Amino acid sequence: MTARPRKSKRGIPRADIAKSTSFNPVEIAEAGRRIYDRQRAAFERHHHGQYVLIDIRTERVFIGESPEAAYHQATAEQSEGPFYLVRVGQRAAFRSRRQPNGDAARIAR
Amino acid sequence: MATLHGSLDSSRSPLVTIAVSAPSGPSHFVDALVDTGFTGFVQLPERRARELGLALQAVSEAQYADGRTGTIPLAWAKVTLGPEVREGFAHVQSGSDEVIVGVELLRVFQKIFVLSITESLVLLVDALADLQPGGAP
Repeated sequence: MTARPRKSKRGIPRADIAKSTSFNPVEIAEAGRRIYDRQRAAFERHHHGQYVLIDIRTERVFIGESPEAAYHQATAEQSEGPFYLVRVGQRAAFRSRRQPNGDAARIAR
Repeated sequence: MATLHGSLDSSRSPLVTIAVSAPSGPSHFVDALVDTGFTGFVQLPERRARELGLALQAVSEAQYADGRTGTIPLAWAKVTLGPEVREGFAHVQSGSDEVIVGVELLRVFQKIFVLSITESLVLLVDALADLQPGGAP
């Protein structure tokens, strides 16, 4: 018999990463997005352009003007992650002109 | 004030030498490409990150020039640039053997990036006043 996914107070299933000790980027990103989406409207209203670092296990949120500022807040409060990092109002926190597989796929624009 | 001299590689891309390490580990010197199209702090090949003992701590997303986005594992790393040391998120990239520094590193170290292809000049300076008229510092 399989256990039902654990649910948050709002009834949204939490990712297994919250109980896992392994580092799975896809699971962390999915769990992070779910937590972020629950508060998206508030973030976009009050923190546009800032960086939001979410501790996936505790669902605590740290906001800063840079990724480093958000991380320093998290470590100051002994938050250990794993974390999901978002830039509020952007499709992605970072931009790169290169393709993920490096030099050979460099895009010239 | 520290002025750091870099170089151009065979494809005329600007390189600077940095030292990278885990926050409490030994540093390794590497030549890093300066890429102003990369908005992160530093990007390391997965193999290099493993050799340095960096611990994956976070995940984020990067958007590429073709509009696609990808999931990027991040590790907290220490970077030494000349006499100065700062910490930030390293993007751990599989399928690449390049070390890249981005505009976040220039912001964190408060450096001005000077590049002249014709003069083969690559500099990281603290202030424009560090550039002497008529020649490199």
